Amino acid sequence: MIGFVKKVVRNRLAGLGLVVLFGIILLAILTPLLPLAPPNAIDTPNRFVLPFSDNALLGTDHLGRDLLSRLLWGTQLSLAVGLAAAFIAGFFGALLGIVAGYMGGRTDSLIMRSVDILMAFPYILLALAIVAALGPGLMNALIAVAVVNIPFFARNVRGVAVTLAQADFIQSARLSGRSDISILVFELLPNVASVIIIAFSTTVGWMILETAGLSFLGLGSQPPQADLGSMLGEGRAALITNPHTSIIPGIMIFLIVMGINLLGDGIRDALDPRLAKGRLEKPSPLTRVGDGLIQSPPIDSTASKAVMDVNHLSTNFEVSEVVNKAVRDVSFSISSGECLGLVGESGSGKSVTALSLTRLVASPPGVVVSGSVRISDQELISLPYEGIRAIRGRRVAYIFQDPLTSLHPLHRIGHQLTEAMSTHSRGADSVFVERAKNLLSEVRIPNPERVMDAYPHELSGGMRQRIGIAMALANDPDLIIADEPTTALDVTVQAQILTILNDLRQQRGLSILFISHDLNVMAQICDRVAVMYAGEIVEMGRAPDILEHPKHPYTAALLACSPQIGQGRQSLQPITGMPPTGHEPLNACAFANRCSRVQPVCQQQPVEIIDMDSQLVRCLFPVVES
Amino acid sequence: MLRYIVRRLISMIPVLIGITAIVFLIMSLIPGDPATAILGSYATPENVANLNAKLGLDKPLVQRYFIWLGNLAQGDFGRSFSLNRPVLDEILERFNATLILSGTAYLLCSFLGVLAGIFSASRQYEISDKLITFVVLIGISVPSFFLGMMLIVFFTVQLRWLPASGMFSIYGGGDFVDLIRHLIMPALALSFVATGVIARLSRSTMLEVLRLEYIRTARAKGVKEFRVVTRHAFRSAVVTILPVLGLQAGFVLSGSVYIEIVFQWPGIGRMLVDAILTRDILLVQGGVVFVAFCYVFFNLAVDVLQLWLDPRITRK
Amino acid sequence: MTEQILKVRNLSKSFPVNRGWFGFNKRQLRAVRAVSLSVHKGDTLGVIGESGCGKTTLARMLVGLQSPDAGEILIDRQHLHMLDSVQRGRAVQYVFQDPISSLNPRMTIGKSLETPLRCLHSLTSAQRKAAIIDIIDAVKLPVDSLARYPHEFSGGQAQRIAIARALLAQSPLIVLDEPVSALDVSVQAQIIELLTEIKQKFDLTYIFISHDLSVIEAVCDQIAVMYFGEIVEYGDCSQILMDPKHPYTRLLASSAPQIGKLLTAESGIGQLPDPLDPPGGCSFAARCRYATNECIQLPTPRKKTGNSNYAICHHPILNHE
Repeated sequence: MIGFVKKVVRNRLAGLGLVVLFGIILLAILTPLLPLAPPNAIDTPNRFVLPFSDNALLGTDHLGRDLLSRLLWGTQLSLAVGLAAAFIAGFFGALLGIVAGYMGGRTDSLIMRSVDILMAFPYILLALAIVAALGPGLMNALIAVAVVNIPFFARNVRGVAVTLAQADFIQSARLSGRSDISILVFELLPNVASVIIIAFSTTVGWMILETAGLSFLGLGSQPPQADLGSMLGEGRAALITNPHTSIIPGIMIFLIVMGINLLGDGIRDALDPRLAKGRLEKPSPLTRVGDGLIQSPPIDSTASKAVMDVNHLSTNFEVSEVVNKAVRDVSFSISSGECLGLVGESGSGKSVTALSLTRLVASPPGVVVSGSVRISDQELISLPYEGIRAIRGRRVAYIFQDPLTSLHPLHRIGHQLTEAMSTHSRGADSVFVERAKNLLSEVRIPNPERVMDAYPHELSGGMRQRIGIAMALANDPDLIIADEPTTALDVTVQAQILTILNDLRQQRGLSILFISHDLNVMAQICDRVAVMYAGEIVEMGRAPDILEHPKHPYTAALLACSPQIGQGRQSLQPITGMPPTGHEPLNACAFANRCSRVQPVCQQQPVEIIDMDSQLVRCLFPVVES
Repeated sequence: MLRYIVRRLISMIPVLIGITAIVFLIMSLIPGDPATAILGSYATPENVANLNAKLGLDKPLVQRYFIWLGNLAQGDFGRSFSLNRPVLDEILERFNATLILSGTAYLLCSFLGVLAGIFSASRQYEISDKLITFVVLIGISVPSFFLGMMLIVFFTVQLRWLPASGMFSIYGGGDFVDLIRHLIMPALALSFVATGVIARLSRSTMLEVLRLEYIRTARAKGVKEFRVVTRHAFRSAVVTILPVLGLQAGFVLSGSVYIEIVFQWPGIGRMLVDAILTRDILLVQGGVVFVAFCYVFFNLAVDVLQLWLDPRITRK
Repeated sequence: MTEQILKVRNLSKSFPVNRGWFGFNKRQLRAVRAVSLSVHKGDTLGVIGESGCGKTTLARMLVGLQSPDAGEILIDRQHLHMLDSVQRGRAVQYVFQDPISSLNPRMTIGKSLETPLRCLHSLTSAQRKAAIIDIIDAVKLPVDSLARYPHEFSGGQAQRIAIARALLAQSPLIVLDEPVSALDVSVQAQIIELLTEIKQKFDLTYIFISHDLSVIEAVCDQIAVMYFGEIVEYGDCSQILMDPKHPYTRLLASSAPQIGKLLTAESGIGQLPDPLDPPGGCSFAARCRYATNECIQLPTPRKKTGNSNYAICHHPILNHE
């Protein structure tokens, strides 16, 4: 509980809200004990006394009643009624929502259709109708506000409950023999609770406003009893002459509701799983570059015929104080017409490396802390935004992993393709359209005309990835970076995509940086392979050398634990243990504690990468085949 | 598309019937009988019985409902006893005023809210974002009727710039400029809250969309950042924001009840409050059903717009 | 021959797709059609297929998470639909693809593991504790894991927990739905090794569902190849993968990338038929290079291709070409 409050108050505004609200609630609770004038004592000779007068700190109203006293009693009443309404609405709404969501079928449609009908009213109409039927009065206003808000809770909670009812953990509870009731109470409810609390904390303020509103209209609390709303209503008659009678209760409502809203935001931030890893941050168009960026010395451009040169590139993820070193001192170069593979398991830093090249890593939290990335004569890391933008898609193009999420769902395929072209060159639309169609046939899409008009969701995964490739080819780039382009695809489709990429390479002489976790895929397309582990390149060389005669123990172990087709039943040799996290500096070989060839010296110092028979290996005791 | 609209229209029938049923049921809970209310407490029992028979109130509840429903279907909303004129005439006249006020406020809050939200999201944590967030916070915390009253105190009492009540000046005026002068304060007060809600939603939706993979794709294509925000991110955010805009219409309509009271705007909200206090059941019933129907049809229009904006829906 | 622990006959499942007004002319989306198979005690049956082939629907029907439209499932000669939830939980268990989502995020691992013991076997608290400690040791997790929550674990560790829970139900049959697909290669090998180990230790039978031919080959005795809701080839795993008889199995095998072998891809776009409007004849005919007119028009026969192997095909590839 204390931990939770701390989490909420981490949002400083929420802390402010908590303080304001706490103060007001304390006042409301203490009201009966305070030495106040009776709230309903009429004293007409002393009407409309201004605030800060001797006998009345906040002045008096049109009947000469003490405003401070009425304010505090009114606050107490408003808070009590608003909270009560919120609890009633929250309880019944959540109950309906959970039952509807979990039961599904008829029960669900019956409940939700009724909720739909209730939500078809602008809320005040329903509230007015209820008050009209029950008659004006504070209790009736409370009922009206509660009823009107039940559908809101029901719908919110039901949405979550429906998703959860299908969740794997609910299914496995069922398989573990739990009954429906027990699943509802022990498995579902704890997970829905946070949604209920969020919905509650973000609507309590609104419900206090609504009850105050009904009282303001004269339909809530009846004289002489007054809540904040009816004080405002009474004050309105004297608005022009004595505005203080309106301003005082008005400000109190405002403070209460603002306090609740601020606190509600804090509670939401603390409970929302999507916000668990920090608040929603807008990734900037360019990865931030660290302050003390170490630039590599200029290399003589005459010697290098590389399309891209990467030197000592390091990228961190920095979330407040925690630094995660995702890419550590990575260097490689890609020559013209070459396909370099970057292979590694999840968390090895291969994708982050790929994105760092044109500074596409989401920032925050990504920071490029050191290194240089050159294409021919240009240094990308220090280039300003406009310069990088002109290179992205034009000279360096990307193909991403999941073609469903990486294509814009609401733009037609044709538009997405021509946009890639019109971004970098001027020309008639018809020219772009023609070029786009040609590209589509080049990636072997059967009827380009029709596909141009389609939306991504209308195509299969394989077709979408062909679009992804076509889009990367749009401006005839110097280098294509393919980030796990076949991982999301079925094996037969993967074979097609790999074949297309291979053919395009040959026809167009493409340079490709191909990222994958799958050594078998690497073997199909790459000339050279770089193996990454814990953010470092541990081995790099010609693909057949690496894949058939690995020198680094990690590469060898990785190959030994990947099952191969045509070998029958086989026992695999798993790598024990886990890779190191990126939080601490590497003072040893990163693979040392999982390595079968480990020696004491491996644990004592970082290991440099060395050249061994034209194969780069970061190991003190590399595998040497006899 | 057309098929979808027809399907939606058909599926609205139960909702519309449900609305009338709920309203009728609630109103039938009113204790005592309208005849006594109309004739006053000195009426003889015979007179009351006569009037009840005349109004059809001696028949059973279900039968009365269907008679009322049948009349509604023919456009007969009954007669208001307190105003002594047909309910529908009164509603249409009042609704006109409400539409001017709510419509203006609605357009204002949709436009300003969405704009503020996008602007705020694309400048996250900058001064302008913080300023907007602050104003928005005030917006969602202040009661609209209190804000209206404060506007009156400031612009009418202090500055004497704008009129504080009614739709037109009593003496002279009556032209368009006069209407606008009367409209400014109520429309502002009414739209302020909704602007806050919409701005908050737009901001968080934009922030969510900006993290999606296809935004990264657009950036990787070299698309200019302004275009990434407007054409790529905003295009998707609209699909999320639009249904909420539809719901906000209900909130603006609801808020207009308070604002009409504060500014003595001759709209339907004020009519309803008066009708409740005078227990003019037919007027309340008719008014509520009429506005609810308008709201339902408005949301249908929003749905159709949504369909047009999101090609994925027809497939589902 | 050992006894059959699972027998499935003519299992079918469609999902209604609401298209049209008021649910008139509801159309059926075919997920699984007329699947029959049997598994002997102690064997591992691999079910392989690409996305949309119905393998997950089949798996869920086998544990009663979905009920079939037609056909029957017998576990130890008992009809699955006749069992109550406790009997069912003792007869067959399921391991999900995504281990973390299969654990209640608001419950400690210890609590999650207790559920099957309490609900299926009504053990006392002390007995539960002892059983959990044994199993935690068998799946090689530290004992202090019990007090922690699912999000604190990596995918591989969470899969160990999920396996532990399935073991605690003490059912002799476990359906593993892509148990290693979400894991990295090195972790994948760890889990496969663990599965092999506990299979021997607890005398288990597995149904192993995967899209990865090499994983299936490494762990399975029998294999069922699924395409578009049907089993198209069935039999001894290594025999079939060495020499596939069904053109689809052959395509799968040749599409899988391997080091030292250049891969061949089919030339068309290779899409599944529309599941709302399935073709009359062989569903693979449109993609098959051996297809003839009879493939498109006639129902496809089951042809024996080996001792216990068969292929559903007019023209199984019998002689090497």
